[in-house]
Amino acid sequence: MSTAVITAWSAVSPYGTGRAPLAAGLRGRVAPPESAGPEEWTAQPDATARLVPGFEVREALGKAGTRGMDRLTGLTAVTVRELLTHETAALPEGDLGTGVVLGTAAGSAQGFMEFTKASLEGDRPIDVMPSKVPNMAMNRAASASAIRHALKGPNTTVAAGRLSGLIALDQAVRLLAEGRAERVVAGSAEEYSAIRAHLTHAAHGDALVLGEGCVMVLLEPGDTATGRPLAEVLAVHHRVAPQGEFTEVLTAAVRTALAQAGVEAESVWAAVPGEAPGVAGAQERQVHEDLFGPQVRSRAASVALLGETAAATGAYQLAALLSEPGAPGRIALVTATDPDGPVGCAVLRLMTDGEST
Amino acid sequence: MSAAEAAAAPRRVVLTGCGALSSVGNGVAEFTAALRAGRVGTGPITVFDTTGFPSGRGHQVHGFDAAARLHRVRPEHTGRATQFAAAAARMALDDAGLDEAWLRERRGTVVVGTTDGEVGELDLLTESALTIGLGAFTGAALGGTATGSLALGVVRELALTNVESSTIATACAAGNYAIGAGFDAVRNGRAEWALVGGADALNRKTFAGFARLGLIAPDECRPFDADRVGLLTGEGAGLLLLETEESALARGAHIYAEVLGYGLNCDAAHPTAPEENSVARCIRLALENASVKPEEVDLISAHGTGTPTNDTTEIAAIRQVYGDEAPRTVGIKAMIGHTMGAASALGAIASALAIRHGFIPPTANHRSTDPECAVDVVPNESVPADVRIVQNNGLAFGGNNAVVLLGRHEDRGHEDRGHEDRGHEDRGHRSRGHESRAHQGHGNESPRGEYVR
Amino acid sequence: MTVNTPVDVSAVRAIIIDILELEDDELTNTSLFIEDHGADSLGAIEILSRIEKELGVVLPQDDLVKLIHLDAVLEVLATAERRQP
Repeated sequence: MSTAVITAWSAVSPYGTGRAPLAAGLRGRVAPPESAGPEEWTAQPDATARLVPGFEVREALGKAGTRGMDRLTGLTAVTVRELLTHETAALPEGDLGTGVVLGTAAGSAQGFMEFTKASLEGDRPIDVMPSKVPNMAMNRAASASAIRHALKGPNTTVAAGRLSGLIALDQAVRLLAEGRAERVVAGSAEEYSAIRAHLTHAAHGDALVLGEGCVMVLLEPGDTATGRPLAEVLAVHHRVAPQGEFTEVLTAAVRTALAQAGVEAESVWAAVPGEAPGVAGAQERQVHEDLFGPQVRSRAASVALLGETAAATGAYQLAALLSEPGAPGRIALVTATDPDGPVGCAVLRLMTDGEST
Repeated sequence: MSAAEAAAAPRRVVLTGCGALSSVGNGVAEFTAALRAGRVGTGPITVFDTTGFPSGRGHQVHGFDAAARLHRVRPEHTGRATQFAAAAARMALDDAGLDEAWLRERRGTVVVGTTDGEVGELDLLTESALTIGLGAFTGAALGGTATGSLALGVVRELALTNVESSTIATACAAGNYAIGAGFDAVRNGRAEWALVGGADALNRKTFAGFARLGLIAPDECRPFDADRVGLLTGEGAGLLLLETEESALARGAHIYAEVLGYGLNCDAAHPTAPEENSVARCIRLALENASVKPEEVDLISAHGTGTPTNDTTEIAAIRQVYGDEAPRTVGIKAMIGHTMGAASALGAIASALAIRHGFIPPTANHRSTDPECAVDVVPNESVPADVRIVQNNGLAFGGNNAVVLLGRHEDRGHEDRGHEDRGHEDRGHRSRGHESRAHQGHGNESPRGEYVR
Repeated sequence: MTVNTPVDVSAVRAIIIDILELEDDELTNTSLFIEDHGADSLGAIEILSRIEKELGVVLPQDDLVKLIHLDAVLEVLATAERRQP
């Protein structure tokens, strides 16, 4: 059986729309600028974050079918559009169709709370905004992307905090291995909102700068891929450290993933941690120091450049690897930890020199 | 996954434990008795203030003592949906005759489907933010409102670590999505067991949305009825313990059913309305994946929300695949309400109970079958039946469809599941009972029909 | 009780134009929301909801299907109940 290969990717990031600005920013190790957060009912005027510059859903996607669409859905739909219209040739749609697997933390918490607020404050509790109703389903971003591009395969929304990107990749690989989709668009997304800022700052301190965005990759079975393989997904393995024993459990997860991939820790060319806030991130960095030398640890860009990107982090880590030049065939690895317990590791073989991407 | 794992032959996957929380009962025994009796769990919603809504009726879980059910998860620090998921997982474990140690000794997967996750916690946060301002945001709120907390609640409750954990938020098809993910993991050796299903808790946000769309029935949910006007929101959880056939047989477990296969697809057409051809395609994908012929299916546990268009579209899709000889098709939402992400998981449990106990749960609250829903809906009273294969539907906003096939476990090796000689006597009973019922005119084309799931 | 005061046609027009995102001259009394203006069913609910809120009336949900063009909306409104204060 063949493994899955990534044949294209794109993004909407604080560097701008599309793959190129993100790849250039990460390759150059330049942090994107901070800007003021959008005006919302709970916003603090002095809050700043690394936002997608000037991103307005309806300007980015046009007015058709976007009335009331939340920012998370907009970021995802634009990323999928960039991926399918600029990074790939026309895809033949077979019987199984193209699947979508999107990782999210909690949908749009801002959108949910605004809806509830309207119900609480309206003359009647049903005085909520009808155009926002489709956002109330947490699968809106994945399904709206499917609707806009007629992607009729499995359509999965997976929530696992900061592991979301890694688990989306895993689910996508499995759908291909099981023959449940011809190809899968997979990744993860996070929107900036005042609510998310309050939730995150209350949990991890006010100093944390939030980021946002979306990265999606196109996965195809290795033996039938129509695009040029950029990377092969060798293994994904995840576990839970329910008592906060991240070092021990993440080490086990990395060793298992490497064993499944059939590679030694010494042959890893680049290792990119998820940079979780707090003790999870500190223990994750320790695991990397224990397992990998300084060169390996600094070879690809750190996703810390983007700020705290929560559910989008895993997909940004893939982007960091796919953006970094090197000799074809190099082995790369990402790890992820979530302060609530999940930890995981993905091992890839990068198949191009990375320059052209 | 590794090459070594992939090289192993696919294994048969069986269901050996069920945990259910619903408006008609907590625990698989109560749930079974209620399905058999056709009990309807409708009542006033009290988990949030329904003052001012056109109706305050729904399907709430009662008698759920979280502190008694949960050993490790602390109810006071945990949202209602996560409590449900964790409690139902423990029930499923007990029902399977297993303990935590057994789970810990083996690699496992926990996948919980949900529509709303812990949106109920966000509702409470909204109320307190409107009252006390930003002080409402506490350090625990980020993790407590994260959707992934549902699966993590199961992991914490059972003190697991060598386990994959994810929450699938594919709205009202999420339970079947989760079952499918667990099926694949066990089938291909990535996990030795799976705790999968769905959980959701009643909350203002979703209730207000359905009420704004005019989708909430004023009295009862009446799937496939000529006079149906909408759904009733519900809550609950359904968790299923899956393991390999080999494991279940070796430990002498009682097997409810075998998971035969499933299908997933997306209409990619409309955010809220379903698409007949696409739903039919999903059914065909599931049948093909399960190697089941349409004529082998004895029962369909429908999505059956009781909204005008869901039911018409779903039955049209079923008839597209099955023709005039469609199996009996029941809507258990009449009894338990629309439990959102738990719906197809509870539907799967009901399907397994039908197989194990030899009865078909009825479509309750039924008066007269809509001619547009021309199938035997088994109105109001359960019937004894030899049920061998059940199709369980889950359809969601966003056009996300998921169909799971369960079959009676028949230990005949891998070549032949023994379908050929199955129940023709039962086929003759496939009553077209609705045909003899008088149909009232139903000329009032409701616009609500468009919103179906 | 029914509305005795004349329906505020310009307010209704403004709501519809806003929701369907039309130029003022695109909306005629009988141009169809769905067929001519590309509205979907959520648009009709949004029109009903906004009219209820801004004009202080209650429209039966069953009337949704009737809201196919401006004249039809005005007709439904003419028999609408005032909201309880």
